[in-house]
Parts: sequence; C-alpha cells; structure tokens
Amino acid sequence: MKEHHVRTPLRLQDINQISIGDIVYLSGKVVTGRDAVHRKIIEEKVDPPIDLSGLALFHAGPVVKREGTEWKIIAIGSTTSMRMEKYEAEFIKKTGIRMIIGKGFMGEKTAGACAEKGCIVGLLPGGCAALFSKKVKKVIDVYWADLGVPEAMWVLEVEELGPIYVTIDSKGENLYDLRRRSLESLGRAVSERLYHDLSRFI
Amino acid sequence: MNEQELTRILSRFVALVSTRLPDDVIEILRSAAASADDLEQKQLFRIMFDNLERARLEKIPICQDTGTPYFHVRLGANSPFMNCIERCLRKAVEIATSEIPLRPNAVDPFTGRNTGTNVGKNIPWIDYELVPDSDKLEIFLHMAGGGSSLVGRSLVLKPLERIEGMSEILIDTLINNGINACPPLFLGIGIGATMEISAILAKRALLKPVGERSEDPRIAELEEILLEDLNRLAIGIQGMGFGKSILDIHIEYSARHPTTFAVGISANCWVFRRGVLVLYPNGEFEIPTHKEADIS
Repeated sequence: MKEHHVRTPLRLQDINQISIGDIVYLSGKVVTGRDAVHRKIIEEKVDPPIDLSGLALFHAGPVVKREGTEWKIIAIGSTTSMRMEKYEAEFIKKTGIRMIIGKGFMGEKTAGACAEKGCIVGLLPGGCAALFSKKVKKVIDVYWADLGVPEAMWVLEVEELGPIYVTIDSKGENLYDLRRRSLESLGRAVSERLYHDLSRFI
Repeated sequence: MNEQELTRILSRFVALVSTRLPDDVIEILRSAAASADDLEQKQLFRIMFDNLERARLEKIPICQDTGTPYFHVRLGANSPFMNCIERCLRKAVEIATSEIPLRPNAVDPFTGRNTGTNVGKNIPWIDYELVPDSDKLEIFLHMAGGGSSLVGRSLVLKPLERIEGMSEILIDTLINNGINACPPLFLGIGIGATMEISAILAKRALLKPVGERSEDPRIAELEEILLEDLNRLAIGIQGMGFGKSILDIHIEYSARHPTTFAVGISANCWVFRRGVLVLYPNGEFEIPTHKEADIS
C-alpha cells in the first residue's frame, strides 16, 4: 500500500502508478456530479459546461451558504457511488475524467472504462463532511444550479483531500470483486447459521 | 409556551440532531474504536471522531447529507400541544434548514424540483402514536440519510418460507446495499401482518436506544443472536472488510395474519442522527438522548 499526493489536471502517467489499496491525497480542481448531472450529460446528451478532461469527479452534494457574492461550502463529503454505476462508464469515455471520488464501491462497467480510458476510482470515508469541508479552498463556479443545491455541478479547488482509498485502478482492477467474492462466500456460511438460529424463534 | 416559542425550541432541536450524535451512539462508536486493533481501522476512527468534534464545536452538519426529517411523535392524549405540533414541526424544519444551514433534500418526485426548504408534500413525515392518560409529547427525530435509506426493504413472505426468506432478505440487503451505506450500521427489523406494518415497526425498532434489548426475553435473545451472526459477514468499516459491521439490532413486531409473514428492514449508517425531545404541558422539556446539550 502506497501513499500518493496528486494534483489535477491528472495525466495518464500520474494515475498509472496508483494501484487498488493505495491511498491518495488530491489537490486542484474537482467537479461534483451526482444522479442529475449524469442524467443530463448521458441521458439528455448535454455537453458539460466546462472541459472535464484530466479533472476529478466528486460524487458529492454539499451544504452551502451564500456570503455576499461568494458561495461557501459548509459541509461536503462523498455520496453512494453505486447509484451512478449505470452511466459512469459512458461518462468517463465522454468527458476524459481521470479520477472519481465517492463512497462505497463501483461495478464492472466502470472498471472496464477505467482500463480503457485511464481513470481511477477511490473511496473517501463517508459521514465526515465537517472535516472534509476544510479541504475546499474555494468555490470556483457552479453550473446547472436549477438542479438544486445537492445536484448542481460545483467546481471546487481542494487541497490534500483524503485519505482516498483506491478501489479501481487504471488497469481495471476492482477491489469490489475481491470484496464481493469474500462476502458471497461468508454470506453462504452465515445463511446456514442464520437458518438454524432463526428456526428456533420463528 | 406559545406556538412561536415551541417552534423556536424545535428548530434548535433539529439543529442539535444534525450537528451532534446522541450519547448512546457516541458511546458504542467509542467502544468499537477502542477494540480496533490495526492501523487502518485506527486511522478511520480518528477521522470519524475528528469530524464529530468539528461538527459539534462549529455547529455545522456532521454529514453533508442532512437527510430526510422523519418524526415519530408519541402523543399524550392530554397534551395541550396536540393541535399545533404538526405546524410547529414543519416550520422548525424550515428554520433549521436556512439557519444551520441544512442541505435542502425535499424533491418533487414528478417534476424533480427541489423545494429548497426540506419541507414538501408529506415531508417532514410524521408517524403519530397515541398514548392514553398522558399529558406529554415525546418527539423522536431521525434525520434519515439517502445512503442509509437506499438499504431499506420490506417484503411479505409466505409463512412456510419465513425462515429461508428472512435469512435471505437480511443477508442480501446487507451484502448488496449495506456495504455502500457507510457501515458500521444500525438495524431495525419489523415483523408483522402486512408490508406497511413491518416497515413502520422496522423504523420504530431502529429508533430504540443502543444496547436496550426487547422487553420480551425471547426477542431479546434473537436480537443478540442476529447481531452476532450478521457481524460474521465482515462487511467492515466503510465496507472494507475490517472492524465491526453492525453496531446494534432491534426488533419490533405485531401479530401476523395466518397467511403472511412480513419483514421490514430499516438501516442507518454510523452517523446515526436521531434524538428525543420530551415536552411537558407547562412548556418545560428535556432531551434525554443528548444529556449535555442546552438548547433553551
């Protein structure tokens, strides 16, 4: 397990040295995008408002406050990445994004696109939004505000955001495959046990 | 206490629950952290506790998903606040949303439009329970995050398939959805006659104090056994396979129909934001879930 400190825009050689299980601290420009942004770009085929190539996509919907003409991030953290699995592979191919940060794991379609286009996926511990809000140095812009605060595309400058645990690397290796195999085999063992235990009660 | 004063107190209660975990949740997290034996786990717990401390001191949300406000109100039949409580709760959510602030999470399911206030059609949701011969209100608040809510499930099983059915729904729910819902988790299980009954009982079960076992000794034993069995899935902190998977399980049940066996599951992430405010007829109140908090 290695620790990496990287800055956007990310080049292919930056992410090729990162493997699943490694820890990343990210600096530079990142954009948020959740369900509605994916729907807009993939389903409705709307072009992203800025060039996303080499940037990081953050699965996050922040708590924000308007102070004069500036937006301030009060709390920000990762949201369940698996919700975006349906469109993420296409999103990677269309935008050239090089890193995705979210919560939990992502599936095989995303891993395939990561290998094909050169992208990595990482998990930022969930439920820690007060702490991670301190890593946002600036709100650069907000697009598609009509989608509502959580769903809009926030363009942020972050400094040393992490620890991000890499779950998919640019070879397409996916930590989720290992976790699933382990969970399925444990699930079978627990299921037998549970059947036996439950039959005493119900 | 007039309606405006009550609304004020309730909005501070919403703010408190969003920025500070209840005492029992902190205690079980502390004990899980104390039994962490490897560096990765220790680092994660350190981040989690740093975050809680920062949110408490700065009075900002612990998690950016400040959830869907869900109230379970035990209504004393003689409480003088019966008539105004719903109005006050709705207004309190709106005030807390703009003051803390909270993230606006109420979205019209047909237009996709966010109301911006956390108040919308039937939201905040209020589950009323009538308590005869009582003059107080017990207001349970749960800020139900989206990730945790995605885990929720209820299903009506055929009675002859109840054992394999219940075992399957528990394991499937946890390994397919629980893994991405910020474990370690808290679980409420409801069993009863219909899908609706099992779902609402699962939520009431979830909201019980950590560590409190069912008053029915048989059910209390089952809660302990399920906790032990399901922790063997080794989902782990943030789904990573190390550390505790489930911190507590409660079961509530109703009589069932001879032909049905309904099971509901309600889950919550480690950031279990819930609180109880007890309101007496003279306007005095207490918050037994957050002993050191002062919102007066």
